[in-house]
Amino acid sequence: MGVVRYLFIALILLLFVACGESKPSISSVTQPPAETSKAAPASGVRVALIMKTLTNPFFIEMEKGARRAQQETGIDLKVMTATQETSIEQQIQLVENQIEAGVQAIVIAPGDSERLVPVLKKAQDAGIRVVNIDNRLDAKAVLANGMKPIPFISVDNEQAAYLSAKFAADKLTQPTEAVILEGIRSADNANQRKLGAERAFRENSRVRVVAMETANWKIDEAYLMAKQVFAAHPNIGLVFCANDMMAIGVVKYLQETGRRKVRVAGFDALDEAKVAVFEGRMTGTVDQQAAQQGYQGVMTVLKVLRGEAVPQEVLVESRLITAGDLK
Amino acid sequence: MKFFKIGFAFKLTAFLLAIGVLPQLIFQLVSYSATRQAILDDAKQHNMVVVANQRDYLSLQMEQINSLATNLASVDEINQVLIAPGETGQSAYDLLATKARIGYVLSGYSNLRGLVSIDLFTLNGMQYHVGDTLNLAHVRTDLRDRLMQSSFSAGNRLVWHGVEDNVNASSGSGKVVVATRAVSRVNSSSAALAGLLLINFSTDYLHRYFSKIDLGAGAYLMVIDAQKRLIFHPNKKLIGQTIKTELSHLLQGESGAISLQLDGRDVLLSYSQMPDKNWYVVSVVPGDTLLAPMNRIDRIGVALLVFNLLLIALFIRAYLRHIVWPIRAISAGFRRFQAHQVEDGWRMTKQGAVGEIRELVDWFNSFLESTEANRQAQVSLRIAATAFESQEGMLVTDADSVILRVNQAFTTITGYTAEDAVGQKMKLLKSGRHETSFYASMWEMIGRTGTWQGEIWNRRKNGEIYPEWLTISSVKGSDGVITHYVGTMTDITARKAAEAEIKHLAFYDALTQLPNRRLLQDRLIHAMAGSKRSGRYGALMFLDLDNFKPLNDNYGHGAGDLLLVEVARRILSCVRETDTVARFGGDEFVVLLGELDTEKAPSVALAGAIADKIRQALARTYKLDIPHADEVEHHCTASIGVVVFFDHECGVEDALKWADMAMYRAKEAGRNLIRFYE
Repeated sequence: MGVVRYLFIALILLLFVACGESKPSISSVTQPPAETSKAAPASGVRVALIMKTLTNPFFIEMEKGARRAQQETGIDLKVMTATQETSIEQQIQLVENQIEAGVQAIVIAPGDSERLVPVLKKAQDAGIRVVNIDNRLDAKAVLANGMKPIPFISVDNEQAAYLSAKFAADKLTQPTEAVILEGIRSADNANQRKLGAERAFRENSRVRVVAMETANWKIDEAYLMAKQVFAAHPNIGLVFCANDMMAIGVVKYLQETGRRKVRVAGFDALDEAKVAVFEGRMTGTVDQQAAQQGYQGVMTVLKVLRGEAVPQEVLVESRLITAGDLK
Repeated sequence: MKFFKIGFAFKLTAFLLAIGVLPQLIFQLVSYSATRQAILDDAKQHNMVVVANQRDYLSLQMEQINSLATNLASVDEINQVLIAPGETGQSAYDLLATKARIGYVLSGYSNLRGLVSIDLFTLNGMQYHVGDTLNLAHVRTDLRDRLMQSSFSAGNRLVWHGVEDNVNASSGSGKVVVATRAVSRVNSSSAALAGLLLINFSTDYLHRYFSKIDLGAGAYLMVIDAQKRLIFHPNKKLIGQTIKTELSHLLQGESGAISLQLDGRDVLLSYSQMPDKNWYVVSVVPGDTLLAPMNRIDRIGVALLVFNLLLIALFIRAYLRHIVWPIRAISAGFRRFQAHQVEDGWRMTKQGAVGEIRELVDWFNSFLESTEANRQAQVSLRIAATAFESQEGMLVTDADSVILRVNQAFTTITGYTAEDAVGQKMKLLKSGRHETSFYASMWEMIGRTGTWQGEIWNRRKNGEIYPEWLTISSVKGSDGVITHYVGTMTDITARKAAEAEIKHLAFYDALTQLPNRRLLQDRLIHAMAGSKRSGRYGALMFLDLDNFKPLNDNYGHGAGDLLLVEVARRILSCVRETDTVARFGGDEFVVLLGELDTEKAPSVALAGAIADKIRQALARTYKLDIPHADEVEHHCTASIGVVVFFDHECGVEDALKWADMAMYRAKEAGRNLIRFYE
């Protein structure tokens, strides 16, 4: 009996011993990482901010505002822009990419008020919340595509443009030919600014608008357009540009051709434009608080995500900046 | 017992385990270890393939970036930027327009997936950028300068720096894979390096890609750069961290696989080096995951083992129930039997027992039965032995009447001791009083009915013949053949004597020893019968003492009794032997005379003569010797009545009445007289 028992125990022991062998042992892959992040704890919410162009410093401000909202809320914010203001297809593609990436919300400054609508409808259908900033989407297109209402954050473009144009025109003492340089014509804010400028010029009996052209918001196109317009109308004394980039392009042309008397009104309050205003090359520009728009856009979409009621339209205050403000 | 209680079942269990489970265990063990090795080898190979695939993927990504950088470096606009003078003196328009132009160029190259940003840093301090932020206000200049320095020293080729912080601190991508390329002015006399093309690749993108690769439960990939920092790890927080030196020391050579303990788990670590770089793609697969296919084998093995053990347990249970316990019960039964604790009539149940064990129980029970029967027989024998030594004489013989045994009472009755009697035949006791036919009929009856009883005369050792009451019974064996005879005898000598005494008392007067009235009547009937036979007359005399009462009154009954005895003696002396003298009661006597004469007259004369003889004899003076008194003389006569009878002329009562009447006439006539009934 004893022999059987000892055999049995020995065999069981053998079973266990046979399995063990010595191996190198490492407690973890890295030293435990030191937690240094001072940002709000990650909320896991993914938001995309899609802007128009990487060349306009205006959008840098807008991004800054959005980043501030990110810092405060701990969301995962992706910022992306189309290459140029005219890269509408690229912007559509960016929206597509974000739908695919599965973000919960998109804050968009659409380059075009109509062409972006279908892809944003697709985003809404995918459950993505959309907030519109800067340039308003076309209400009819939104309705026609069956989209749910989209909160909009911007400035009163028409009024701001009116003030900028009016300020430039008010100082005129004799009849003056004027030109309006528009943004992308299918963009609502471009249209609003044009309307604002038209209103201001209409009200002033000395001003006669001889040309209305578009330079698609772009600095170099504006330079070329100025060359073209001034060739046709050499006596132009007043230029309203729907943004500062175009204004800087025009100013470049005026400097090169020595036309020191032409008054140029801008929009956006870029640092470069403010310098021009200060130096007297431009009459004024409009600060439309790009950072505030970016910040509000993100915060609004977060409210929507939380299911809170938000106003359908928030108008950020805009301010006319003239040489007097900068001294 | 102990052997039974523990040892036997245990031994059997061990034996069954040894023949049933042990070979299975060994087989399982061997097949397990073989399968395990095969699976591990397979897993190692598989992991090496996975790791190599991911390494190739990464190489492809890097190659794309390499060609992107090469293309960018040769773009005219970029060359122009490098030639352009420094920032000072440039108009806002130039600055913005250039930035826009270069931005368009860079943007054209930025649609490679996973690309975070492309930056062009010129030596004159300009930064052209396309990427996930527009804000270039926060540039990590130390990092930029370090990257620039290391890239410039490498010349016009792409340098991979591994995982670094993003040069643009505003970017949402904190940790990026950085590649740089120094660019030089093309149309310049001196091909001096004038700018740095910096490409940030997203670790998030890599994370998304690598996270999708499923290596099995708990398994994961890692990508490690030349500075042993993590480019990819499933835990995003670890990206950019330096791995432990113990771990980095393990990564040697182009590829390999190592088993180790990591995070307290056994894992297989497989790695492959990126070509031309000291980067590694590493997979970490827990041993459990590798051996997951073994689980099924394990489960089946364990199930088999359990089934086997269950079978053995069931068998052992049945074995215990049907064999061991019954045997134990039998052994306990014997123990109780030995300790005399088995009650009569108790029998072991056959519950559970099977086959031979059942038989064993049967035999045990029949053993108990026979033991009980034996004990009862012994009791019976003891009772028989006690009964044998009773007051009755007893003897036992064999079938040939040879005495085997006698008891004490036998010796007392016959005088023969056991030594005398045993071995002798029964005829030892024969008295010779009985005819041979008596014995023949006796034995005939025993042979027929099995028993005989009756009175028999036997002879004692001292020769005395005595009567006894004898019962003889035959004892038959189970085959019906007579084996023994048992005789029971009672000495009835005393009884016989008592019977005679009683008989005497019934027919004789105790005082005078004369027949009493009953015997007289009997004799009278006989006499009358004899008279008829012989044709001779008989006579009946009735005597009454004339002066008896005063004696009794004066001297007591003792004196009376003495007188009566003397009267009886005197009357007897006067009659013949064949005549009867009876005391009829009190002082009355009757004398019966038979065989007188064939004629009446001579008969009367003869009777008268005898009567007178009696009258005279009784009339003599009596001298009575009364104890404790003086001798008394008494004078007493008798009055006698006589009747002569023949045949049955009259009845017995008539004769007595007539004699009595004659006696009274004699009394009336003056006493001491004789009168005949006429």
